[in-house]
Amino acid sequence: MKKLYSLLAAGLLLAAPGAARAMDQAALLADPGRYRVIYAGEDEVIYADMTSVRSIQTMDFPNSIENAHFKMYVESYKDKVDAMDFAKGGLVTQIREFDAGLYVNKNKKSYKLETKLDAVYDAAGAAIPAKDLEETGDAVKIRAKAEDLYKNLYRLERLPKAAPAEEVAPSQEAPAASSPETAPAPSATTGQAAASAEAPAPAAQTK
Amino acid sequence: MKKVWAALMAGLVLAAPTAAMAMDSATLLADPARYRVICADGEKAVYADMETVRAMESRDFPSSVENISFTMYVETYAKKPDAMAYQTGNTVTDIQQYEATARGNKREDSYRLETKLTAVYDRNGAQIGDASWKGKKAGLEADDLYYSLFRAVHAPKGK
Repeated sequence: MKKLYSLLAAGLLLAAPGAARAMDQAALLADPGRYRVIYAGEDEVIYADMTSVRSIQTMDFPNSIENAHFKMYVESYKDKVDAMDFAKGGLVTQIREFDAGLYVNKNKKSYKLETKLDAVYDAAGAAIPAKDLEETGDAVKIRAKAEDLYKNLYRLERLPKAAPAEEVAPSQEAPAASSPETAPAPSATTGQAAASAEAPAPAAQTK
Repeated sequence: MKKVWAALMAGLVLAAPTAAMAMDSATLLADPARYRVICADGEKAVYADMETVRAMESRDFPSSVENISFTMYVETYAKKPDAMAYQTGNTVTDIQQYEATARGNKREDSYRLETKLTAVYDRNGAQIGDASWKGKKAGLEADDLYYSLFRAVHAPKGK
């Protein structure tokens, strides 16, 4: 019996990191610093979880290629709403959670978006089975174009982060010779790839 | 002389609240709880200054009419920015400041937006125009922003 319990406990521990965390509209609205709006229109609002953004760019000047991965939440608005929907908080029909990748060649002005649907929730955060939606293809459709998302996201990536207390003093920082324009764009989670790095070919493309 | 100084001071005190505050991109991005994004795409980002919001709704249930007045900022993006524009942060061409009122008839799901341009700044906050600015003004539809504005107005105070 003890072995059975320990097996169950081990199973729970292993399963925990993979379990989806529910998302609701209140959480998205309550922390606008973390969940940044990168697209908003009549039909949907798209948020990027800024704690999940990982971006990498080439080391040529100016950085011509940038790939960014992040957790993306898409709120869909109800098609036709009435006053009761406003009063009861019924404007949002569902929240879709994606793992998103943006692949951008800034010299060629090409923008590609790759998405993988992770979960679907209702406005209150209850999980909705996504299987049927996936079969019809509705689940992965979004109105925003990759360019819309990138133009808003890239500015947020480069926002200065609050410096931790043990940060080096200004006098110990990089020498003044590297001017802001020649230095790589600052980004807390931005890595630098080799100049030859190319964007991986995305499965789904939005132009 | 004292009277002149007093008159000047009084004038300054009265003028201060109506003086336009310059706005730049860094300020808009730095305080997302105050400057809520209510519409955004590849051409623009529209912010509502939540400290200026005045919302008024009818007293029927559920309140069928709600009008929301606020100061609105529209950042216009460059059309086809190249790598250098991204590198130098030069993707915003101007910031237009409006006094705006969004009028919503929620029962009929119909919305109207009234705007009055008050100032135009470059991305660093230098004023480049006023109400008579001849540049291209933001083309905004009330339908695009009313839902997001309503939710921002009724949301709990952000972090």
